[in-house]
Amino acid sequence: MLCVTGTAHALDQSFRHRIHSQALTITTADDVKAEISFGQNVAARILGRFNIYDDAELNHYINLVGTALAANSDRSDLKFRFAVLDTDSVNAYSAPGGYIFVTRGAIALMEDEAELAGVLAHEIAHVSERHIVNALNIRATDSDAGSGLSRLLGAGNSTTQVAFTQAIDQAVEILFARGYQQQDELDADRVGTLLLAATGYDPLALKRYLERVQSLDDENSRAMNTTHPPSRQRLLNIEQTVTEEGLESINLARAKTRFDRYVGHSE
Amino acid sequence: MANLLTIRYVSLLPLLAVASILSFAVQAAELVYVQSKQAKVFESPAFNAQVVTTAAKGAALEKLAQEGRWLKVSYQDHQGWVPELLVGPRPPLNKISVINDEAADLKQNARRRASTTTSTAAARGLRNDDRARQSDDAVADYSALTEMDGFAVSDDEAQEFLEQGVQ
Repeated sequence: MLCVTGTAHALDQSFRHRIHSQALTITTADDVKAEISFGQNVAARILGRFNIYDDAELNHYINLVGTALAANSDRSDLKFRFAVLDTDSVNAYSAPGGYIFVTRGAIALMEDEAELAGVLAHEIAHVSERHIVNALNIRATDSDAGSGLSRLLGAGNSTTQVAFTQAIDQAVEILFARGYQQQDELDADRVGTLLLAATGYDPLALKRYLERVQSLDDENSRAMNTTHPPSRQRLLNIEQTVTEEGLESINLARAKTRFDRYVGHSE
Repeated sequence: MANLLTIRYVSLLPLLAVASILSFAVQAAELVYVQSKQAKVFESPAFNAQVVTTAAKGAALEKLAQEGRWLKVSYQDHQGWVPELLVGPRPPLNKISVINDEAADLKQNARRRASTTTSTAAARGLRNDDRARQSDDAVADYSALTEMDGFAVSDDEAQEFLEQGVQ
C-alpha cells in the first residue's frame, strides 16, 4: 500500500471537502474515455508488477475468447484487451475500461475453454459493473448537475490530478491487497455465469474451476483466497444463479479440444 | 351565458380525459435499449425458455414489467423477457477508444508521486522489504500496456472464432 505525502493528503482533504454527495455518473462518451484512461493507468501498474507471458498464440487465443464474451456484456462501448501474466500465482485481474489479465498459473489449472471463459467473464463483469470505480467512492463535483467521471478525472488542475493518482493507488490496493467487496465478487460470479451462457459456453464452467482451486491447498490458492470471498459461498452463489436463471438444463460447449490445442494440455 | 360556458366545458371533459389517458400512456411507455451485441427475447424469464425473437444492439424495447432480474418487454410484434443485464436506460454508445498516449500523460505525475513516496518511506524509516513492496506498487509499465493494446481483436474475428468452436 502506498503512503500519502503530506502535501498530497492536504490536497485530497481539500478535494473531498468540496465534493458533493451526488452520485457519480458515466453516461457520455467523455465519461467512458475518462474511465478507459483511468483503467489504462491501473493496467500499467499491473504490468509493472508482472510481465506479459511471452506466447503470442496464447495471448491471441484469450483475446478471441474474451472478446467474444465481452460482446455479450452490456459494455459493448469498450474495446476489451486480454493478457496472460507470466507468474505461477493462480489469479486474474481487471482494470476499468476493459483491461483483463489472467495468470499463467491459473490457466495451468483449467481443463477446457469454457473454464477459461468463466474466469475471463468474471473479470469482464467487474468492469461492466464498474466495481472499482464504485468502490473508490468518487463523486461528481457539485458545480454541474450533469457532471460525471470525465469532469472529475479529466480536469487538468493539480487537485484533480492528485485525486486521479490517488484513485489509481486505491485501485491497485483493491486488486493486490484489500480485494473487492464480497458482494462485488459474488455479483461478478453471477454476471460471469450469465455471460458464459449468453455466449454459448457451459454456465457451470466457472464453478468447476473454482472447485478445483478450492481443492488446492498451496500458497498460490491461498494468495487468491486472500482477495476473494470464501469459495464455498461463491460456489453456493453460482449454484443459486444457475437454478434461478434456468441454466441447469442447458447443455453448452466446453471446447476442450481447442483449449488443449492452444494451451498445450494433453487429454 | 354562464350555462353555455358550463355546457361547453362539460362537453370538453371526455376529450380532456382521453388526452390525459394518452398522456399517461406516453409517459408510462418506458424504453430500454439493448447494450450487448444482441439480446434474445425469451418466452418466459429463464435462459432455457423458448426464444421468441432476437433484438440487435441499440434496439428499443418497451418495458412492460419486471420480475427479479428479468424484464418483460414488447419488441416489434413480440412480447417476451430479456435479462436486465443486457439492456440499459439509454441507447448504447459506439465503441470508444483512447490512445494510450493520453494515459501516458499521467505517467509524469505518477513518476513524480512514486519518487515522493520513496522519499517519504525513507523518512519514516521503513524497512527495505516495505520499501520494495511500495516500489512494486508504484511501478507502471506503459510499454507493456502498448503491447497489450496490440493484442485486441475485432468483434467480427472473435465471433467467427466462437462459431467455429462453440456454436
